Order: sequence, then C-alpha cells, then structure tokens
Amino acid sequence: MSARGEAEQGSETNVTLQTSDDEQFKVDRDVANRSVLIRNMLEDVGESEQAIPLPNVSANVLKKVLEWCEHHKKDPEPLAEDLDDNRRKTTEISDWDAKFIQVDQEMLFEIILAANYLDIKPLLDVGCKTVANMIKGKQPEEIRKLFNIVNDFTPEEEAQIKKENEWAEDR
Amino acid sequence: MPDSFALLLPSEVWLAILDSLTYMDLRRARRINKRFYRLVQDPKFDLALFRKSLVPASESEIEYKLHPVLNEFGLTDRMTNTMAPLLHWHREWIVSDEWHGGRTVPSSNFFDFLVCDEFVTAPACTHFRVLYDQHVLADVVDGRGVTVRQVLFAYADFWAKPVDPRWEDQYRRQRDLPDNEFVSKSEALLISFSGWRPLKYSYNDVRLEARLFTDGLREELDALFNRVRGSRIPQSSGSRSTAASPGLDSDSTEGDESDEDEW
Repeated sequence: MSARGEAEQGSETNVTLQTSDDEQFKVDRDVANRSVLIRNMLEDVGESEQAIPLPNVSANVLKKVLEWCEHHKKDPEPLAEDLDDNRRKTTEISDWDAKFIQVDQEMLFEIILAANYLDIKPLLDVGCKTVANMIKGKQPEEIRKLFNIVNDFTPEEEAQIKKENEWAEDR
Repeated sequence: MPDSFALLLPSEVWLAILDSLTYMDLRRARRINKRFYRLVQDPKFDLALFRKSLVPASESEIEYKLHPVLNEFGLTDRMTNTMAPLLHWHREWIVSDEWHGGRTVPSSNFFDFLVCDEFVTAPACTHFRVLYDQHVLADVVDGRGVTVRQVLFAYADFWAKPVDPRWEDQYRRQRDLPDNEFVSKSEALLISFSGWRPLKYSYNDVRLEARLFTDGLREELDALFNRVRGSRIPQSSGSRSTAASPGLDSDSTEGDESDEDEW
C-alpha cells in the first residue's frame, strides 16, 4: 500500500484485487482497467485504499488473467460493433495469445469463466476461438472424449438424431 | 478427470463459441449431448444452418450462401452415384446400368434427411436456378423460400428426361465416333464441367452456374478422354459410362474447387 503515495493522478495508480482464496494482487490501474467489471467498480467507488473483492476468481487463475491484461494494457479499446461482428469472422489468434492460452483444459475453461465474469471481451474471445478450434472437424464422440462429456441421449433419441443428420455427419 | 470443465461454461459463452463454427461442425455438435442439441436449436444459428426462412428486407446488404449439400451434386462422373438414388426415390426410376454401374439401391431415402428441409441458400431466396452452359438444370420458385428438396427434385426431373439428340451428335463428331455409338447423357452433357462458379444473385433471385473448361484444357481432356475410351471399346456396352470418366475427373480438377476432395 505504501507505493500509492503521490501517484494519485490517473493511470499511475495501483489497484488491489482480492481473490476468492484471499490472495491480494497489486496491479497498475491500466492493467486492471482491461476488466470492464473492475473499471466500473473503480469508477463507482472512486479512489479507495480497499481491495476489490473478486469472489469468483482464484489466485492461480487471476495471476494468468493479469498476465494477459499486462501484455494488452496498451491495446486500443475495441469498438462495440467490432466486438460483435468482425471478431467472429476470423478465427485467428495472435501468436502471443496462442502461446498464452496453451494451458491445460481446466485452466483454459477457468480463464474463459474469469474473462466472462470480469468482462474482458478480447480475452474471452481468445478463449472462445481456442475452444472452437478444438471442436472443428471432430466427430461427436471425439468431442465427448476430449471434454469428458457424457452422452445423455437414450439409444432411441440418438438413432433419431443420427438419422436426421445423415449426409451431414461424415463430411 | 472426474468432471467436464467444458460444461462449467454458461450457455451464453457456449453460444459464442459455437458461433464461429460452420454448418457441418454445428450439425455434429448437436449430437454431443442434450445440452448441445438445445444450444444448436438457438435461432442464432438459423442462418448458418440454412433454417432462416425470413427473406431479408434490405436489398443492398444481402449475401447469399450456397448450402454445402449442393456441392455434392456436381456434374462429374461421380454424379451418377449421387443422382441414381435421387432418380430412384423421386421418379421411381429403374436404375439402368448407365446410372447405376452395378451398385445396389440405397436403403435410406435421401429425401427423408433433415438436410432436404433446409433452404438451398442462406438466407432463403424465392427464386433459385442452376445453369449448365445452355441447359437449365433447375428453376425453382417458392415464395416461402426454395428448399434443398425442391432443387434436388428438379435435378432428378432434368436427368430423367432424354438428352437432346443434337448433343449426342456433337459428342460423336468431336470424337469421330460412329453414328450408332451409344452416348450416355452424362457424356453428352458433362464433358466440360469443372465445378461451380460463385453464386450470382440479385435480390431474391439466385443463380448457380457451372464453370466450363477453357479451350486449352478441354483439348487436353479430350485427348485423355479418347485414350480412356479407346482402351475400353472392346468392352460390352453395359459398363461403359461408369468406366469412362474417373481419369477425367481426377486429372482435370487439379487446383479447382475442392468439392470433390471430400469424397
């Protein structure tokens, strides 16, 4: 907390974040602002010594998310329309992001959940594209295996859907 | 791994993930489990799955996409394998050697598949035509949107009609064949097909046109064709047409649209 001292003007300020497992992270306001949730909280509360509680994010995940925010802290704000339309047209992920997101499946989905909760759209997007790329071209059984998903169709239902899907499924 | 981390994601996030998938991937994704089945039912995917019946209101911004199943019905020799079932199920066509090449009639009726209820374009159009050179393979009008089934019915009707004798004659002349030499419909019509062009369209009026070989390429092909054909002239006429074109097909489509690589 001592570092806060004179740096009261704008983005130089530090912000303290508190995770679900009660760890505290002190970060640049620039970095924290990548999260729309945190940015809105800071705007509402104003300057405060108090740590911002993030009850849905654990320390190991927040550490990873902050690593992304740090690297992207200088990115320009995406325009609202770009977020919805343009980003979904490409499935390209930058090299840095691709490397960043090379984590085990538990961490991958935890990052996506955190990005969704913290409202960090570009990071959420990286996660979504990564999962989409994992699904592309795979058969249903391969996807179930990959994500450990139980097939909960009855044999009759499955036969019906398979019939509906005929032609489309093996191509 | 006891649980599925993937299933922890809320549905709104899964919808965003599925949003970048293609028709085929979405069709497969709905078979994963009940939750995915419901997710893919979301109206968000109507366009990607050719379910969108709404004819778009604004004329300027329309971009029609062709249903991928239409690529399966090209005008190559393999067409005989895909067209024979259509003729069988739509026209009760007695599949002759020309069409059939000795294969048995498929047990499931293609027209029962869900894909036939889907629209031939996304978004749906009310007038859809398929053109090959001077031939109209299909010309379908439907105010509620033209479906895949309607276009395939039109295909079957086209192929069930006898070929214009002029095209048979032209084929014989080009190859110096005797007047009584049997020429199949596919031989008479299809020697110049090299894939489909990108869709042409104006508002609600969509055309799918065949791309023809350039002249140089056609000569090369004819030579190849004659070689293949020449080598099997002693054979009985029954198996002729199916033997004619595999060489043509695999050699001629290099660098072309990839619809045939998927076979």
